[in-house]
Amino acid sequence: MANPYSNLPSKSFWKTAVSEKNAFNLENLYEKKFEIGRADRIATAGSCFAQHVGTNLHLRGFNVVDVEPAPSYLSAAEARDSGYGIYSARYGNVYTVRQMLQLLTDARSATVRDEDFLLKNDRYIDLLRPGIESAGYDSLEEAKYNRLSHLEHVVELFSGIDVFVFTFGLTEAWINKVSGTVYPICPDTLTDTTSGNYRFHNFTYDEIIGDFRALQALLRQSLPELRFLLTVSPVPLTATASKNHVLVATTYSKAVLRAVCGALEAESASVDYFPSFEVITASLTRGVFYEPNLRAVNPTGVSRAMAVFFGELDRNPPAAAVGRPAATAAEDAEARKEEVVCEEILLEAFAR
Amino acid sequence: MRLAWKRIAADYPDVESDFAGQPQKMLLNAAVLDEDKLQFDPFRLLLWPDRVGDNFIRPDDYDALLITACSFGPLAVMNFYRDMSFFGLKRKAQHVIPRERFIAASRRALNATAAMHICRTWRQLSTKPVVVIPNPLPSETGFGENDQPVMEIWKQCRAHGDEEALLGVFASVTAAFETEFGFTFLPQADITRHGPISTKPLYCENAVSVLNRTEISHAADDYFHMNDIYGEVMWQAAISKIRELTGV
Repeated sequence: MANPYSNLPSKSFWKTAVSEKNAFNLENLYEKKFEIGRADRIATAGSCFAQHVGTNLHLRGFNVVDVEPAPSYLSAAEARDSGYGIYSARYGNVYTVRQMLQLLTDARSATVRDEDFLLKNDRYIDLLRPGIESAGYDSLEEAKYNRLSHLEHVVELFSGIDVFVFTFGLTEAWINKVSGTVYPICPDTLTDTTSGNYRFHNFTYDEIIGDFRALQALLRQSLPELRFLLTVSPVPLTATASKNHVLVATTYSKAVLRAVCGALEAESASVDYFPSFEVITASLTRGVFYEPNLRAVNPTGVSRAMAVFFGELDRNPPAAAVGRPAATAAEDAEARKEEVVCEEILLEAFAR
Repeated sequence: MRLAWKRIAADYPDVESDFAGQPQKMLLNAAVLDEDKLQFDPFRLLLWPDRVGDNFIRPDDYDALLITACSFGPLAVMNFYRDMSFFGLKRKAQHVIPRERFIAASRRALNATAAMHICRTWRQLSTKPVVVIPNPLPSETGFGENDQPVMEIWKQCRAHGDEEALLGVFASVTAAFETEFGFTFLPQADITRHGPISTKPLYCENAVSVLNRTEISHAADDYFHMNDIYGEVMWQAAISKIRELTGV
């Protein structure tokens, strides 16, 4: 007698695949759909957890493109504080798919809107990347000039890559009531005011998958062979504006994003999903991969997620990558600071 | 400046001057000695009039300190212009950064010059005036037909009409340093300038430096070292300024 479950591998059963395992010996969690070679040009973007993927790809010798490298006069720490070397261009964290689509659309059309800059202490802040040049600009004209220059680099980036690594971060966002622009953080938190200029929106499954398909279509106009590697950030929301408990809001957000990734991965051979979310959040980890605040992923968690990822992606690394001196890698890690840059954490200041 | 002094010393019988000259790298090793002396690294140090065996000066012996060049000049700003630009410049470089950051970068570079190091060290010992003369602008000859890589960025600056904006950055940093470090900046004399970022060839021809106590003529295609005619002009300006500051 045989039924549909009779000949399934052990990874298909919770008892053998999870109950009898621990956080460090989960097996067969990820099977890559396509190869990513060291010659492939890789772009990274997304919410803050994406920074780990980019950093580790770089450290292992993969060709992570950086179209806005830091000027040589900056130290590694200064460069990072200024938003250099975090992603493939200086767009900062892109928490929602709508924001990513908007970035690409703005870049292609060289669109810079006055309302996307905020005057604070006589300096103009770029609301679309508030963590970049956080000290602001002398004038609105200078701020717009710098943003336009950034958008030119974004066009350059997305006209010459083979793989796009994107980490889905949030469903919640704040939108300009007039222009519809989506921001990475609530702009009013920067001034601690309620301007009435922005509205809260919690993106739905349909909206997110629609946005991603639009993004894919846009990118494939010039990059028909582009492959996508998707992840969902395991980092919970710092705060929710949804009226729900933040734990409930986080579960909704991550569930929707995870479902979107599942659907996108299932429908296309050129879209892969890496389960870093599962590696970090699975019940068998008992929270061991989180910092004491139960939000930030600790270095052990990052290391474990990366081990799973590269254990599959990079089974036979070239000698040059294997033989890379440990000190050099350590120096790189220090220079690039594994601590992620995260604008959303600013919301923590408003907790009572 | 030392050779120029030979030309004009007779015109200033009430002025005495001592010289300390050294490559910038060694000048950066200058330090306070015994709470009353500014001690130099002895390597390739030229003190004139000759004081064999000494490697220090005592601020109490002087009315003022005149610092000439020592890497303090618009070149530091021009170096950043190679691959950085900001809103207001016409040439767009690889890195577009806020003007404030460009100024900060220039400030860092100028702060690290031997000129500022000597100034700060002197200030630990004395409140007596310090006058700083910048490195001269390159000779206009250098903007002509030549393939000197060092002139390339100067030519680009002129071609794009970015002279005033970049000199504005230098002026901004200099003004801030004047307040912070307590020196008086004496700009390159207008009469010596051909244009906003160049010096009249007359002041560059047959320039001579002293290295290891030997006078060495600069090559004809060295556009950054000036001659004793230039030195004479700047001496006159410096003496006038020092008299104004000291009342001596």
